[in-house]
Amino acid sequence: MAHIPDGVLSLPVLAVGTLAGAGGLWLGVRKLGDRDIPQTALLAAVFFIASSLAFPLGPTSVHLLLGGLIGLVLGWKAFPAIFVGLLLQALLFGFGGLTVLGVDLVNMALPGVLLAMAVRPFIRAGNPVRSASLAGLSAALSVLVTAGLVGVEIALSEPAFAPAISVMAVAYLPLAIIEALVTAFVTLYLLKVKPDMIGASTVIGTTP
Amino acid sequence: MIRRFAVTLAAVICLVLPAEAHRLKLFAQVTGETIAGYGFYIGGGRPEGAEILVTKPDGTEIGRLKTGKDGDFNFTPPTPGRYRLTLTGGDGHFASVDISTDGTPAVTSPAPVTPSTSAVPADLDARIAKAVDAAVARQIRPLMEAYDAAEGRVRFNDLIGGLGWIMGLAGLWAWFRSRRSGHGS
Repeated sequence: MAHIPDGVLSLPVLAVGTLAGAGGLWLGVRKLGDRDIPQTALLAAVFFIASSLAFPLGPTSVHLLLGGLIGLVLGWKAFPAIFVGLLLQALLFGFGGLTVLGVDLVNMALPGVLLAMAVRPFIRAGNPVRSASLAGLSAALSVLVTAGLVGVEIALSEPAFAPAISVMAVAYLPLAIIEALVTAFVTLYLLKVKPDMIGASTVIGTTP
Repeated sequence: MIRRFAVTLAAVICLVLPAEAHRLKLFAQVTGETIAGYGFYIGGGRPEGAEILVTKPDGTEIGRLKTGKDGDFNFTPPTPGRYRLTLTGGDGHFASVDISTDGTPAVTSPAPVTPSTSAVPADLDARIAKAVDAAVARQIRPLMEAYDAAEGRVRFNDLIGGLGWIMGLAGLWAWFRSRRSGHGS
């Protein structure tokens, strides 16, 4: 959904997005310790597959973004993971333009990273139900923030398209609910089998 | 843990395949001087009430259309010529297509039409040409639709190839790190 093609965004939007994307990427790569490599690659693979496969839903078709889940597990390392996934999607499938890569990266990675940062202190293995619902909530919100970012960027670049954009949040609402459920169940599962992957991952994994 | 995750992932892939790319496309065809077609999402769904912007190749706006219930539209430009249609899906998707209504090729150039040397009146000749155009357009329409749909399909090979790339990059990064920090030497 959020893969913007080439030639839609204006130069200032592209420049700001690319700079922000590069900044996030730099932060993420700096935090990428030796032990984080397999996990980051695994989540890059999950993102790549999940957001490549679309399924029909009502009048349109949607695919998962999983920004909330990836942000929760990886923190800033979500940027390199999602960057690799987006790059491959652009090269293999033509999803999103290569020049828009930085903007797309910010749209999909940043909301999840920031929201996960906000909810992580409240996620405890001892209270799985509350933790899972918080994770689900942050996933749903991150989808909506992604949608909002895409809408604002397109409206800023091409005012001619602005009226058509206003229906966007409605189109993303079912996806937000699906993402919330998926993220909540994955969180529940991870809390049982490997709680440090979510809660303590930022403490254990970041040996630079 | 990783293994279980991978198995789940593989199960999900098998469950979802054959899935298709999520992309908005615009199918348009010229019949006479009218441009008609529809927008569609590869993977299912037609954008209803989406806006189509009609411009000349240099960007001058000619008009705006709304797609109908099945994502369909038709439009007769004021003068025959080359036009670009841009469909806005409303959820951040765009699709555009270049089309020409005056017989000049919009993108590629097929063989030029040889001038008629037959004895039939020019008027009849033109009518026959028009009828043949319409018939050919009708006949090749399913082919063009199938081509459009096939073009955006996510192929299993590409997906697996992408996973291979991710693994390779992880390996490369790990190798680079190990050389820098002197592990394993």
